[in-house]
Amino acid sequence: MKFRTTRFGELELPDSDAITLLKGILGFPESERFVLLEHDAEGTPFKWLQAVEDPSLAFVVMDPHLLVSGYDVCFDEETASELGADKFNEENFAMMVIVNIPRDNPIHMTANLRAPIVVRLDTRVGQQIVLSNEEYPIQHRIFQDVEEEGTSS
Amino acid sequence: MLILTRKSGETIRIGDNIAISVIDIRGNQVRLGITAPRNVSVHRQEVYEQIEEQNTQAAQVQALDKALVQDLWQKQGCKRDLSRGGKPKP
Repeated sequence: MKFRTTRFGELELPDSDAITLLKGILGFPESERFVLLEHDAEGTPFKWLQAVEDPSLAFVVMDPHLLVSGYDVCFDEETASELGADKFNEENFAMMVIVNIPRDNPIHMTANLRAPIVVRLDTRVGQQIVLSNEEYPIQHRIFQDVEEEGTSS
Repeated sequence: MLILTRKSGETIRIGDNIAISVIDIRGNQVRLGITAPRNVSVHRQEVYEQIEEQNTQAAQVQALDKALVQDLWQKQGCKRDLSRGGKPKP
């Protein structure tokens, strides 16, 4: 497949690279096909989740397990059955969370641990789900230990 | 919209499998108990709105400052190691 992106120019990738996110990303239901890219992110924990059909739609994502140990995802049977699975089995799924980077203060970037994207490894079909566990924040500071230059904690 | 009046301890049913009970009313707060099958997800409306808002903001991110991120990630890693024991070197 060949498609245009506003951030990374024109891309040509094998069709098998596509990930299908049922219902899209919350707030963006019209785009269901995505690819994962490493552009500008090599050597970092981050990747880009780029929509295939919408050139301007892309998200920075990362593996939530790098942020919290024992990240526990338990989703309902409806979601599991939509994804064609009997129940959630972590080994069969890849997981990522969306990262938000404030333009004026990128150090304060956050990850949404409450609404991970889970993708079946075999079918590459997934969904953004909302966890019931309220302990996982929608805005989890990624670099919470790092203070800005000149300030002390 | 269907509007029903319920007292504390009373319940409404939606279909065969969903029951919502008024557990307690204090001032302007109502505690609800929800019984629903596992295949029905139940969340506060604000949670969905906040997630959509976060997604919308995240979609505005145009670039990743690789050098900054690598630097921060490294620093964070160092701090984590230090926090497990040992003192920062001067």
